[in-house]
Amino acid sequence: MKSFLKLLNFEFNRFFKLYIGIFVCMFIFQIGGTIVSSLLYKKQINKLVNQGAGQNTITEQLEPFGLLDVTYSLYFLGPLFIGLISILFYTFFIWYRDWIGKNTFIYRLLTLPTSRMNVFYAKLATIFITGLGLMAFQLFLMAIQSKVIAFIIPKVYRSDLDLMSVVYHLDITYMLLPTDVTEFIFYQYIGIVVTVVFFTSILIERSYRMIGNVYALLNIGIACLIMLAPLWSATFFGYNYLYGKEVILLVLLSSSIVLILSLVFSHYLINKKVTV
Amino acid sequence: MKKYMKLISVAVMIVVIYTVFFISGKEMTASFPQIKFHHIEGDASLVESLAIFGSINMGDYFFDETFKYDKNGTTYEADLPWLERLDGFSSEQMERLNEKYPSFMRGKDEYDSYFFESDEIVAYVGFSSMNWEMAPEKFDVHLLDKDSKQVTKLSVDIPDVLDYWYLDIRNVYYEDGNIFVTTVNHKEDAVVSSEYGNYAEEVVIYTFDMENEKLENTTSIYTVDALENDEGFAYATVLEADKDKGSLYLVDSSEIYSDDGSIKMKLNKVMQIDVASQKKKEIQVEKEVKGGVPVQADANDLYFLQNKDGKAALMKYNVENGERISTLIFDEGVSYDDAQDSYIEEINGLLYFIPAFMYNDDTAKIAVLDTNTLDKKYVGELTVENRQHINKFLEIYINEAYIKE
Repeated sequence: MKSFLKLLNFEFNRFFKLYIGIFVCMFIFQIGGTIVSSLLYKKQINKLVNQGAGQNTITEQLEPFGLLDVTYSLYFLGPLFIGLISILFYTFFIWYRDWIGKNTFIYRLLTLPTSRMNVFYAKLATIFITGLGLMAFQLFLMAIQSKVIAFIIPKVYRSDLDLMSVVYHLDITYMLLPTDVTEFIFYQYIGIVVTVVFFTSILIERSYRMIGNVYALLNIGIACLIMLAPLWSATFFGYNYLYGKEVILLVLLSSSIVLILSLVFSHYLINKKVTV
Repeated sequence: MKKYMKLISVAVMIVVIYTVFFISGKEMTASFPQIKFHHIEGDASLVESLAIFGSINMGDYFFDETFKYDKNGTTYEADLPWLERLDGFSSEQMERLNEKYPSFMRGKDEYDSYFFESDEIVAYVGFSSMNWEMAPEKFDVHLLDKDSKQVTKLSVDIPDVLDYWYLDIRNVYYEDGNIFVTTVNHKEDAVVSSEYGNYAEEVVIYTFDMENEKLENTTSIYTVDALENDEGFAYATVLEADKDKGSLYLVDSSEIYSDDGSIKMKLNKVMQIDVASQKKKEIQVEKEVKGGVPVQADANDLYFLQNKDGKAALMKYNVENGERISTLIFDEGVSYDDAQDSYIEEINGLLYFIPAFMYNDDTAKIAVLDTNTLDKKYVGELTVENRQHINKFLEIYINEAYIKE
């Protein structure tokens, strides 16, 4: 356990600078964007007021402004996508960086006096924590954005949907941050399984090199087939043959099969096949 | 410990933010508009078991939230636990059948008109297809014996399916080991032709012998030449006179375009059909009745929605003796055009009028009328409250309404 925590801390610190960079980028663009668009909206209100328009005329001419308007903008979605893509990219880079350079670092990692799977789990936990952290930070920023809008725009011209409703109605945030705890846990579990499949594929490639690329893609394809099999039940049994709960249970089962097989295979590869 | 500070900080941030997020999330739909029901006059007990299913739509964004309104208030689909939300809201009949016969209900299209239920059996007829367009190819006919729990299943190719553009199931009925399904089949390239189209609507009754597990009979009851031209278009309406006895009305009517842009109705033919014997009887309709939309029926009466100087009126027409009663649904408020989209349901000797949509701060009136006299037994009003949070233009659609019998 101690070795795992040390490795986790080590892996996390290696990503920390880039991670903070993503946070800063998100903060500057999203908060800055919210301030600018709120001020521009207020400028429009002031312009109408100066033209002698009353409150009713203004609300007829201008749609009320709120957090939902912000979330559909480039300055909101852009940095969020950059953050997500960075973590996706790092899912691969977290392994390959250890093989890059003159003194291949993987040699030191694999010769540590601990189970080699601890290296695997530490990298997995790093990706999981950074992903969760990114979405938590996004929530924090959305709460600030909501306050910024409330500070700049008078209540009568505002749309005050609460944070959870906005998350619920924006597909990208809802996919990453479901508003139901059970659904959240389910999605996180699927996220972990997908990451493990990627890691296994990376180890396959590192073990078998050129032909390993084909095996790795094959591994991802087979994992997808197994995991999504319950969703394809409609093709075999007819639309809606399974109740929603049953589909979820079967996806959990198929994902667990993929997870166990991937971990066993990764254990074999990292102990017996991976070459430095 | 110090060297773990970065990791611990991020872990604490995650725990704190998610905890606050999920705890505050229990109040999520508190900032959503709430549908409220206000009694205006009459016996409020008549609408106690009213359930309305609809959606709230906010024009500019993908904010489309399904809700259910009943005596407990407004429940949004977002309020439901995730696993319940996956299957969504169901009508009272479907909810009961799903609860009682989950195995039988598996994989079925949950439209009330696809089912027939008696004390002994539940009959279902739906479509299945294996093509990419999901165009119906086969009838799936299922019969559940409530006592023995035995299910008889039949899958039959739809006769002459390629002649039809699509099929609508309007009624399912069971009698003496046979399931009867009445459909309106939309025919392309029919004998009719006009510059707007070339189609017809054929009313067909298919009889399935469930003991011998075969399609016994296909009877074409009537074909409406659904001709569309500059003057209007015709279509077939099937109304249930008595669902328990397999008695239907078939109405062939036309919408006629007027020069002033309004639409007038013209009844071409009305027939009473006994599904089991497949006997049809033409009903002679008085001239005054011909300018209305047939909206509901019971054993002896047809109910028409009529246009009285732009206002919506209901007319009851007794098919046995030709007696007519007519009344404005509301003295003020509901135009004929708005009323055309409304739900008018006949339940237990009462006629329920429920509007189909509300815009923004509008209100919508509900009425319950006595089927004998068309007197108003109850009037209520739906309003939207707590909309100051969204503060945007809203469209509220009522998709379905039920009264628990």
